[in-house]
Amino acid sequence: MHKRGSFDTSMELGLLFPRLFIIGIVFIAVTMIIDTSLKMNTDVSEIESYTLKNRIFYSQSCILWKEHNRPIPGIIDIEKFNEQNLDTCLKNTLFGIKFTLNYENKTKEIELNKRIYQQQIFCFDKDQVYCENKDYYILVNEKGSIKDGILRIEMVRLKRDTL
Amino acid sequence: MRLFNEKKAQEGGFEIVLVSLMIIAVLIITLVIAQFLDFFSEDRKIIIEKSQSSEDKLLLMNYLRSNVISNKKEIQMFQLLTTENEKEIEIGTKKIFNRYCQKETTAFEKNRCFWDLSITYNNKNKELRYSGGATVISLNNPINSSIKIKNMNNEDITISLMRYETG
Repeated sequence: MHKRGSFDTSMELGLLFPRLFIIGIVFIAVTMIIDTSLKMNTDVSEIESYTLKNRIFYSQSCILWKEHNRPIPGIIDIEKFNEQNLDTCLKNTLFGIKFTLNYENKTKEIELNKRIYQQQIFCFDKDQVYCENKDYYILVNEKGSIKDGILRIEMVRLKRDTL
Repeated sequence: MRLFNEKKAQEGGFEIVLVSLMIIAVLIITLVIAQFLDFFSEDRKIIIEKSQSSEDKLLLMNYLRSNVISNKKEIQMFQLLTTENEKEIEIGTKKIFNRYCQKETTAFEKNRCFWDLSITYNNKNKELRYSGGATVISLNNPINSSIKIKNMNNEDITISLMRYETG
């Protein structure tokens, strides 16, 4: 009777070690999976550029024309379209931006954060640089008269890993 | 009794091997699926829902405010719409929207789009429809925008834009 009891105990002890080993492996694997899935880089460049563009087209403190002190979205006051105004409006942006305004055979170009904008030659490498170029149909107010034009906005931003 | 105990030990051994094999198999399958679904990629991208676009709404507002020539006089597009002069409306509309949605291959990717504009005179049950821009492969996922105005006679005119991006 005593012998059988000792045999059972030694057998249970013998099984305990492989069981602990397997529990350990499972624990490490689950921890690794959770740990890996929790780390992530979120690329918000598109949202940032969207917000900046909305500031340009809707903010009354940027380049919009005001009619009776009311800003009119989408109509640019040509007198406000200068580097100083745009720089104040988009201050501390991490984007390099080039604005090209074409209206009535006239062209006006403004560059912000030139050093970043110059990286646009690397736009082919989408892992390193975020680039967004688009032409917008806008109206220009010049000395009270409204003219149609195209505002080209070229945006470049170095991705987080590249900074 | 000894035989019974040996058998029990053997079963315990089998159980461990079987359970460990099952756990390893489940882990491998989970890892393969996770890898396939790009679960372990550290890069995540936030994509803006484009079913409605504030940029297109702005485009429609600028379209209505644009100056066009009608009978040798400069008027704004919303005034021209009330005249229902189809030829002049078509020329003005195509001129404006083809500047935004360009068909040239040198155009920026985001400007290579197909546009489809409908002008509905709600009280008269009349619709004008124009389209242009780049040729697109699929007409799925349009970006819809619309704007409603009233003419001099207080009648509603709805302008709806459907835009399809090439990408």
